[in-house]
Amino acid sequence: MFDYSKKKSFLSRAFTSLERLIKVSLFDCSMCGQCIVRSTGLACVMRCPKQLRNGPCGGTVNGMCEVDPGMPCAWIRAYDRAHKLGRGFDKKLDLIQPPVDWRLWGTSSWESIAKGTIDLDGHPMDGKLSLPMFPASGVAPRGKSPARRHLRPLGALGALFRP
Amino acid sequence: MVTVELLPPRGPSFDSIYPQLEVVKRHRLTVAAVNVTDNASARVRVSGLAACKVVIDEGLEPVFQVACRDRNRIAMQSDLLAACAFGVRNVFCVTGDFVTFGDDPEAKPVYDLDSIQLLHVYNRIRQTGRLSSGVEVRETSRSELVTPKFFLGATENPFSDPVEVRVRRLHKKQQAGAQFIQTQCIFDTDRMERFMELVCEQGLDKELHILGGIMPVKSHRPLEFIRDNIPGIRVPDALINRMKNAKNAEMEGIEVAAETVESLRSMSGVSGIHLMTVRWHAAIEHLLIRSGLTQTNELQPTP
Ligand code: SF4
Repeated sequence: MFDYSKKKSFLSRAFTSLERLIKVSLFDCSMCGQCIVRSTGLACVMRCPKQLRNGPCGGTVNGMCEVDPGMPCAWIRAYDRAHKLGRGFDKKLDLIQPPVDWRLWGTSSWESIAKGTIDLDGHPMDGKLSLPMFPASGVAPRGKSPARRHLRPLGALGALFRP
Repeated sequence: MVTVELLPPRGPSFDSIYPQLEVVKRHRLTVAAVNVTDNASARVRVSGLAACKVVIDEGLEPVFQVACRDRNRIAMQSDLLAACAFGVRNVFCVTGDFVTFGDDPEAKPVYDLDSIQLLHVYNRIRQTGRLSSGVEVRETSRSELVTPKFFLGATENPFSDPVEVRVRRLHKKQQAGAQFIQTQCIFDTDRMERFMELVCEQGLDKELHILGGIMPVKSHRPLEFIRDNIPGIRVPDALINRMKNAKNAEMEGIEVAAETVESLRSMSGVSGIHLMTVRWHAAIEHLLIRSGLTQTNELQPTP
């Protein structure tokens, strides 16, 4: 949205391009700079036109977006994927996501994690608006799925993509 | 409990809302509050906050609606403080219809916070007296900390798919601080029943006061409009046919609404209804009397 830092170090640019390359191809990432993809079934929900971070609006019809019926609802996709990826992912959907820090838009989450300004869940470390995670509601149907296996080859980077 | 919805006028005057307020006044023992919408359907109308003030001046209880579409967190908190200063005691958080559904599709949608984050921010203000920035709510730096008291509500649409996800999101809203819920207009009672079953299974009915949305219609045309243009509301074809074939469509509309109220009464976990009559004020009175909800018996419905 607004990229405040006019001058960026080489390292920062490298982080950003690397992250963009990997995450756009994997998750259709929007580079919000505070990645919550671990809590949304490895689907980027910032593709939602309303940029909702806490679940689908009331307008989704048959899994499609109310704003553009040709586009799948980012949130329904997230719930489906989390369900396929297993319980750990599914439970994290019940995490209440704090408000977005719009200053981070377009920057690299990995750089911010490395710097310690946000945690692995994409939440600011200052705890100003920290929100509790409440116990999973247990409404959704659950089942085991082998999909997680595909994440293993990611190795160390995998920490970023585990629930 | 019954609440009614008030659509603020489009013109620079409040004259057009008085007739509805008069109806509500006559049934003030039944109608608990008037919910003032916030630029509903992304169309410009008189500010909801100003309309709330008029409702207060008329001696009624307003519900102040805040949509995330038009304001960022600064404006939303400043409006909350203003509402509290006016004596508003009920606040209602909605995400808001997307701008492309309204008259200004080229406008910039804000959505700085989503409705759950907004509930959380408001809830924190009333619990701790701290704004989203962490700054305390005090008139001057020396005066004492204020924790404004208000009742917090939110919407839910039981008709959008899948229903399990709706209940999980409802749970999030409850966790974020919501105390009452208004549902989208109910035309499909079977689906509502399924939704309420899941809600009760989760025990959410104990934490939340759930009001079922009722919209009486005068003919089949608004139903067709809703089916085709408003995303996420289910309108059964049988209902449209019933309205089409009705001899007296207006009375049939009231009848349908009354039947919906009746079926809501039999569902556990529903605490009341929320009436959305748009501009058909007589429907409020007709329906209250028809459903036996009104507590004053000297009243006759106005034709
Ligand atoms: S339908 Fe889904 S993607 Fe579209 S605005 Fe609503 S939540 Fe966002």
